[in-house]
Amino acid sequence: MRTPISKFLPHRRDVLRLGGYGLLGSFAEQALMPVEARAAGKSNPRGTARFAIVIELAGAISHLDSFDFKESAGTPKDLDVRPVRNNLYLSQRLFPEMSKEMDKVSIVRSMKSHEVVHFRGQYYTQAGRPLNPAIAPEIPSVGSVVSYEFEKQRRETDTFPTYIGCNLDTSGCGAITTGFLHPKHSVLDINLKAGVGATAVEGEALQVLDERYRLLHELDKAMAPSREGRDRAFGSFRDFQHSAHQVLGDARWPKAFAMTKEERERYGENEVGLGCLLARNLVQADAGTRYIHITHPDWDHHKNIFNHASKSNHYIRCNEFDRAMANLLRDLSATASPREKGKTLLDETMVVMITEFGRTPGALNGNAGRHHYNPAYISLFAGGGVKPGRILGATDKDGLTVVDTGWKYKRMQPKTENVYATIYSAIGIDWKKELTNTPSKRAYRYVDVLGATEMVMDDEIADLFV
Amino acid sequence: MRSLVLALCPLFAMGQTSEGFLRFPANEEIGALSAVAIGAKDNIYVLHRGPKPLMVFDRAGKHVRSFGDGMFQVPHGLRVDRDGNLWTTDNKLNNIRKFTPAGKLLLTLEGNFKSPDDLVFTSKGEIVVADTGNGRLARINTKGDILQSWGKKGKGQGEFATAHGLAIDAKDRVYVADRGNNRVQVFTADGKFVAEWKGFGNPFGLHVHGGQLIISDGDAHKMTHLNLSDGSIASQWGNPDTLQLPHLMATDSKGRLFVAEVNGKRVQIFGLKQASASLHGQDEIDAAHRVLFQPASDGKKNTAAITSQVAAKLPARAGAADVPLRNYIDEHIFGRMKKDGVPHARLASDEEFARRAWLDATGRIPAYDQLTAFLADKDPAKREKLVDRLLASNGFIDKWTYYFEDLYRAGGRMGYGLNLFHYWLREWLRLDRPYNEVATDLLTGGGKTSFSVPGGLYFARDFVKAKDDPDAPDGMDLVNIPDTVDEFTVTYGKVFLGLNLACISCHDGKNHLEKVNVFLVGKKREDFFRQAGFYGKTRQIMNWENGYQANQEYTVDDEAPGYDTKAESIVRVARTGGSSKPRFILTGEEPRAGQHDRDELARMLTTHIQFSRAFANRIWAELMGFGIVDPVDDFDLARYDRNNLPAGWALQPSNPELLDAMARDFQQSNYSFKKLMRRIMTSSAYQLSSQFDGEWKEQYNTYYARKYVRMLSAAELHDAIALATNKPAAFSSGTEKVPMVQQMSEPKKADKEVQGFMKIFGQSNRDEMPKKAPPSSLQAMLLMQSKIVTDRVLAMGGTRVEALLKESSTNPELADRLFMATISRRPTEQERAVAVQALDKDRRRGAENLQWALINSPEFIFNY
Repeated sequence: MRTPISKFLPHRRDVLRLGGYGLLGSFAEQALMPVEARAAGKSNPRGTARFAIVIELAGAISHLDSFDFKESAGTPKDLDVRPVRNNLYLSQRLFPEMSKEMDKVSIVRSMKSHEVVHFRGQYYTQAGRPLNPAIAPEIPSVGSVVSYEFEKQRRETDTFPTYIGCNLDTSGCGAITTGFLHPKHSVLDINLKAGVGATAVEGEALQVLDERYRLLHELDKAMAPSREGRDRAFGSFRDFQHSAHQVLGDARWPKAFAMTKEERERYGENEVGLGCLLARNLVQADAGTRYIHITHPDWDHHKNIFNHASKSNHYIRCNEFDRAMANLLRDLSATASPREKGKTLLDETMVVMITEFGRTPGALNGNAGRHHYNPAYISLFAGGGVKPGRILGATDKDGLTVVDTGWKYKRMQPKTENVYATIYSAIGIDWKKELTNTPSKRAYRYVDVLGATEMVMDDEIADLFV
Repeated sequence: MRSLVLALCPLFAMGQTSEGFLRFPANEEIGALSAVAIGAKDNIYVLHRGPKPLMVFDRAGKHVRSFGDGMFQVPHGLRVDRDGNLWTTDNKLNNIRKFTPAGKLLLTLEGNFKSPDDLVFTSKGEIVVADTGNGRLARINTKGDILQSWGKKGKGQGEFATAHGLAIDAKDRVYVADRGNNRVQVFTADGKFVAEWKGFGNPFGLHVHGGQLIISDGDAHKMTHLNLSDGSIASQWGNPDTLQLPHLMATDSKGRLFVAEVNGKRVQIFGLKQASASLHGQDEIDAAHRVLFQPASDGKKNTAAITSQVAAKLPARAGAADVPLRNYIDEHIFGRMKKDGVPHARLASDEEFARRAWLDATGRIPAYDQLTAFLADKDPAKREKLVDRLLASNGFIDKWTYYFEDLYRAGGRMGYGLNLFHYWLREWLRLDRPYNEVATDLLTGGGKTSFSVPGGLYFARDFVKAKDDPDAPDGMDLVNIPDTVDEFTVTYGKVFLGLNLACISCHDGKNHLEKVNVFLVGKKREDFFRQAGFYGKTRQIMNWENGYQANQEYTVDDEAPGYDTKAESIVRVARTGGSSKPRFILTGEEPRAGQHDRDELARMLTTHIQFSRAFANRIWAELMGFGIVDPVDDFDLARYDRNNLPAGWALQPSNPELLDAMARDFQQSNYSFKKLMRRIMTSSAYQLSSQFDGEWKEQYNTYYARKYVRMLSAAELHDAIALATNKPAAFSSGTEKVPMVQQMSEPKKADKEVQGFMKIFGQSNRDEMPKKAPPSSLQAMLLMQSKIVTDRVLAMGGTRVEALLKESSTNPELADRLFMATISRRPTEQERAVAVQALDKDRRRGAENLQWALINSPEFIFNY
């Protein structure tokens, strides 16, 4: 069930002309323009993580009914809120599993957004910057930037795409493209629940595939003369075939999708559960994928947020997220890193929960729900160098206003841009870098200081690491 | 002294082979050669400005006699009537004269004419005279009485700069070379204007032959053939080296064209043929032979040596320059390339053209039989005829219904009206209803949305739900009218006018759009309100029966109080007031008193040139790769006029003259979508290959100097796989079962596998405007591994592979037929060798693998 508002914003979305700028299905030429970069200041990325997993709660989770718990007139009576550690209160009804894993997690409670609608909000959380319809076609998603940055780190044996998405097609804005970057940095978006994109080939089928691919290769050579002088799109599609074949032929690929019944039950047979399970497998495989963005849809509870009879409510969604993230953290922290003695996969993986905004505190609205609320909301961080157990920032007793920003800027709350600066920092990318050779000639800064309504600090949330 | 010269013109006119010149008597002085006429028995008559202006030759070209000394001052036109008598015109003596071929003067007509240039005979035996000096046409009887005259000097319709040459066809339609106005005007024999044709040059002489009007251009020294059916250019040929001021003309019974060349003082004879676009015609080779093959003194011929010498002498392979300019589109495209020195690709081969035309017109790859028939056809007009067949086919209706369903986002709140909409679109395309009427239907009318398309069904699509009302029963779908009207205004602005009004639907252009759209900078939100105001009174009321919404249906009427510019908005920045009195944003026009607002909107919108531009641009983008204005719904009208650009901005359209010409053409053809398609698809510009010799420079992009490849659309790709493998699907569409995705009214009803496949390849969900998906490795993965492909390439269950395995007697034949069936062309030697090798190894498995490999080739995936 999609949120009503996203249903009546069809036109907003068509500014995101899918196609990597200039790639009108035929201008592959333009996408091969060399990218020019320069540093706009100095950032010192920490480089503490090899992987990043971003879990997007699309539709907006109510902050005061989750990780910044505040009793309100609208709070239902069955949440069973208990202290879990160091002044942290969590509903056992909603987060029984996460309650056991909070020793791995830090919370930011002072997030702020300027967005009020989902389409723009979810664009913001995927692109790391507000939507600017004038240049949207050229703006890449954060994952594509990461793919671009990590290209030179890919090893011979790496076949998996650097950037994999789970259920991005369920988000309000869909999967953002590579913008002006090369299409090869495109996300491979997989929706396990809908069964889309999860093609894994084994056994005899793999033999047949190999045989066919060899014939394709031979034919390719024979067809070269008739392809001479034709559009580069011909050649670039072959590149995708090559990567596709490599992935399909890699024994690790079907393994990534091999999920036992037990695992699926443990993580949950839903978008976020299966997404986190796949993410775990991809991190374990370390076969090329370094950045995973999972979208967990359907959080937009304007109506009946706590109504158990509702097909979608806060309980259901929280439980899904709870089991998914908790098990992900568990499994990652239980697996030793093959790269560094004494470290676990969680030490090498930054796991982040983001969302567009919060929900209105206080009493429920006329439809027994909560509306959008952007002055205060939450984000979760774990692994990849994050010092666990931190709670940064605080809201007032009602969860209405932020009374403590939680980081070094006392008058500026952290925003989505800062979350991404933090991620860039953890995975070792200079977030002050900018790419200048864009079609619009506007420099693309990894973290753009020109926010939608105010300046943004192009800084990580350093307090998470110390 | 002149002798018979079988000269080989140094540069061959494309396919119009010169057969040499008329041989004149050695001792006669020949002046500027004005006209040539052919008698019933193929006798040849010539009129020139020497001492004896009239010359008579027999059918073999042997001179018989000359006469007329002292009887002419400036002889101009010459005709032979049914009786074999010769008629002449004289520009200085202002008369018309009639002679016997023996030289006896029978009649002089003067007093009524001033500098008459030419005359033609109607089927009734009357004469139509180009009374040039009087700027008119006069129809006279054989006695010289003027029965009717029409026209005057001028540039308008029915006016002439210089009514120079004439021609008449079997239906007694008179063609006038309106020299100076660069056009041919067509009239009935009793003076009724029929058509005006331009875009080919400046006409001097005219001649009707073989369904074409042949035009000589004495300024450019070239010849143009127009199709009599619609005045489109069929071919052009000739140049100053081969023609020296071609003037009036005639043809003989063998179809040879005789052209009087004024400056050349000669009559040149041409065999009227059309050469193939890419190979050397036999006539070229023959002509080259004639030059090189001189009978050896010993009478023997060394054929082999001659052949290689001939090959060396043949003109360069038709590539850069020699492309026939078939219509005004070519004039603009190749004209601009010529002006700016941009090279272009060669014309597409028949195989390239066939597949492309089939896909563009019908969304399908060609069927084997039809393809082989087309390739084997020797008719020089076969490409044009193919276009006509394809546009008249059911495939055309399927594909373009699907296209417009994507564009109009058919679905959503259309509810049950969707089926109706589907068939309504199909009817439109089948009948080629004028598109202005289609747009009018979509914008006007009222009633129940699932009963009638003109009735607000399209409006219902943009439904914005009202804010939840705590007092309303749960699930009641209230409509927020002003927000819905806003959405719909943005929709039709994009779809019908190519204008993106979304930005100004929230705020003024000023201080926002300075770097985005100059035209919109000057617009305010109030301008948007006033545009939205045409729908100000339109309501969309849910059909409510027995306590629930019934039939997903709305009633649309115009009973609302008006667009409230202070109404709360759910999806936009708050409205803070202003006028919403309807005013058309492009012209400032307001609805006329007593007229219905939405009817007025439809009128203003469809009659504005931007409506036609936007549509022509959209279709051009579909067929040519990208729009002359790109993106197609983002026109900046302040950057359209190259003579009036805002400082610091470039011209937005890459070729505004062409776009305007197409727009006007579209208007004049009564907004016919099919005619627009035909116009584009029969141009040489459309027929260029995607293969380009030499280095492609980025600045060539906007010249359309080659075909730009595009990936097949998601639906086309699925259907192509089904067709290539002869394994159709069975989808539900309404109450029918259809074999192809493109026949479905709701692609969402396809099974999950197909839907997933299509989504990856960019199928629109019909909630948003359609957009193209970039190539990705997931697409490649699917093509390799999806059941949609892998099940169908197996040799079982009636597939193509199974059938061809049985039908083909040899492996090379099998390979050829698989290539033809899958990528619509024959394999090259090398390709066949690879294929046969695989088949020889394991015939069945090899065939399956081969078809799989072909489906996974760019030649299948792309429209190139």
